[in-house]
Amino acid sequence: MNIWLKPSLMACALSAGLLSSTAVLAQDLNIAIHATISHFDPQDSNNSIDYIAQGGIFQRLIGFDEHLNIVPELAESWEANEAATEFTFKLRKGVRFHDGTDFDANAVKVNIERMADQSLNLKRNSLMKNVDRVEVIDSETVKIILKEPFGAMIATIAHPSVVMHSPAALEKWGKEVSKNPVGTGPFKYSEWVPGERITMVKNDDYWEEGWPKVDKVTLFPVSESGTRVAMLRSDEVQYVFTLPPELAEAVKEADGYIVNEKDGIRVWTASMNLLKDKFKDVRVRQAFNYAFNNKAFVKVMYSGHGSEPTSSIAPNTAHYSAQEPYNFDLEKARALMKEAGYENGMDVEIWGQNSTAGVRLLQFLKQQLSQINVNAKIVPMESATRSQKVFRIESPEEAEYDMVIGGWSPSTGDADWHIRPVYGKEGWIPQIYNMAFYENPTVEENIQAALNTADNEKRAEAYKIAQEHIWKDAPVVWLGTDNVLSAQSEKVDGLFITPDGHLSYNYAEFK
Amino acid sequence: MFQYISRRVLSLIPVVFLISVFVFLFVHALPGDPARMIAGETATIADVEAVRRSLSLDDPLIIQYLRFVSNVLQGELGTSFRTQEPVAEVLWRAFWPTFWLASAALGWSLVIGLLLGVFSAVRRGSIADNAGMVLAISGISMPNFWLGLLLIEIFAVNLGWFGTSGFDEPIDLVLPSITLGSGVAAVMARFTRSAMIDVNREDYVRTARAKGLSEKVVVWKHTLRNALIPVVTMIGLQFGFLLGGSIVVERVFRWPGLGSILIEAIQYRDYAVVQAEILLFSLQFLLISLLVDVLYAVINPTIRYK
Repeated sequence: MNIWLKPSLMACALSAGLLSSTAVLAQDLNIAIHATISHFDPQDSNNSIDYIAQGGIFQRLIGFDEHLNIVPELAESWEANEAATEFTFKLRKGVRFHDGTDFDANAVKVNIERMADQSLNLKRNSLMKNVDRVEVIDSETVKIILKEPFGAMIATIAHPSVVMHSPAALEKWGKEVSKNPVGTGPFKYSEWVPGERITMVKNDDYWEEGWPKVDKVTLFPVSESGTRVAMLRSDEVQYVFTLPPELAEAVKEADGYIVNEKDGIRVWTASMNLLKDKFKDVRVRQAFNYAFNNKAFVKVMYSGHGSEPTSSIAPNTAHYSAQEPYNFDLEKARALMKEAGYENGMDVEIWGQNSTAGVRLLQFLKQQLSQINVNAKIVPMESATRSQKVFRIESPEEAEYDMVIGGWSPSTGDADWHIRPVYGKEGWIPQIYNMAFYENPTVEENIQAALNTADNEKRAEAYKIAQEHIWKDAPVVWLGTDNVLSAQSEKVDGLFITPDGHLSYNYAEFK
Repeated sequence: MFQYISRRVLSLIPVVFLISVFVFLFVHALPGDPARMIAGETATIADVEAVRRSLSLDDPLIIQYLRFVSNVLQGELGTSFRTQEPVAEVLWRAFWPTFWLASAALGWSLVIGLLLGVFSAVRRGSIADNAGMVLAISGISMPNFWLGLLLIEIFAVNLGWFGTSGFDEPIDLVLPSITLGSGVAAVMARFTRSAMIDVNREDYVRTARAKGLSEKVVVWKHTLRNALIPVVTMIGLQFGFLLGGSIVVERVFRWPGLGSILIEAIQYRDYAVVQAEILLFSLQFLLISLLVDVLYAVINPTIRYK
């Protein structure tokens, strides 16, 4: 094993750059990210860190901009029929995959059909299970036909996993495409040393005039946040994601570096198990919300880099509708507990994570609830253990917890994929993420109404009504939303993080 | 000598077999569902079941065990649930960085530790002895995590002498091996010192002095050689632990070694990787104990005839 002899391009480039001028370095972008990735097939990925590495190589029909607005990517325009069962996309012309294959309607058909084929056991197959068939109208037009109406289809098509693989590569590699990615993006896959680095090089044949502006992008997975910041400050990398709130001040104080901050869309909750008698009375659940000081929570947990909840979904999620906040009010909380017959409080068992932040959260919640005589027993668990105890149950009745901590971020950026899995009957665990076992007929009705139309005004109205009912019913204690933080060198421009935690470097340039 | 070594090697075979059984049972007894961890917390139950099927985790445990044993017997360690890479490749790639780091850390800490130990023992009770031991206690007590970040801040960020992290060339070994070795050097120093002081009381040392040998010869030839037996055991144990990969040091220095791999595999319940890595650790320990036993026999010839 001649590890000593292994030439390192990065190290050579760095030392050469330091000795001569920065001109050599100028076009190589280095980024430190917080975790390792698992592979390069977005259609088989279920975590945001994978999507970050894949985002330079692959593109979707529709994408998101910096603020989660839907924007054209490989499709130039699209339309839906009124019943929300047929979606037609007009494709961009003159786009080629990295292997030279043309991007056309047939490529879309191959990819959507791959995701719709439930027998492949891809992690994102379920997103397209509603697809009946894909029709090629002509080489630039393609129509997706659904089995059931699905109003959130456009947002689902924009999901970071719904990318276009080169059909030739799919044919050649099959499932091994996860190690041989071929897309249409501004960067081509070059090298992946698991746990060490991912390298992508400029796609000279890229369709968007003038882009990309850097020659090479290298992503370094660095789990220790102090090390990520040290790499930034020694100019080994130009961008760092994620940045823990407690390190934000240190970066701000150093010259030449900027902290980027954006409101997130993950809403943290403590779900109350509604199958248990003690939580059947809505007054108890509202009292819990009034007894919880969200302002103090954001300060304690996120050093102020976060926001207090104003609805069951976050303001940056499409079709959000603001509600009257449960402002911290102990008198009101105590009065509600008294009315509900719990003047002397109750015992509850709360499950959460055993990480430093997880334990701090549990202790904070316990302390808050003690103000209304609620005696909480907190149970911090290691993440895989917690996951099994919470989700690996046969039926809802088996759920043992009184309350459980959770956080949901809708990866489509749309109200549908927050309200339906977390507050809809179809989301009752073990199915998806409704850990409170909440069910309200009006909410169900409106979820369905929104699914049955692609008309955004009608959808917004339906989700508004749903949010009002969820907020009044208070099946969870809404805790807060953390901001998405990243740090960068002043030498670069154009990189951004979306509210759902996706990092884009496709428009990066050196100043 | 040859007979001694081959007897020891043969006795390892049943041990390795037993270890493989325990490793499998231990890993599967851990709470946590790999299919759920790999599918992600926000996955639907359909996604989770799809993962379970694709990883053959829906087979009965006994089938999974037989598959594991038969694969291991054929030298096949399986593929990682998470990255679909062959486990043997993952371990081979991670072994070398850990090996070099462990060797570098042990190398310098051994020299410093032994010298400091001998020095303190010879000047027992003096200011120099106390100063040395204060240094040693600081080395043991200083958290690796903190020392590592401190070294990075001073030597990489401020002075720019080294890269902050990663392993691209030999010079990258400097900061992490100082961090990793500081505790070992301290333990070595304390251990050597007490072993030297014990041996110093022995009759043969007094005899050596009485027959007029120079202090140098007494210390280095008579005392140290005899004090080395417990020290060698200690070295073996330390090397075994170092080869397991330090999770903390590897994390701080972005070191692509066994420690980083293990912690991640455990988080994701990546059974194949965890099993193979624990098996590898056990083998390393067995080999090191064997090596230590052989070294005993070299240092003290009476041992090999027992």
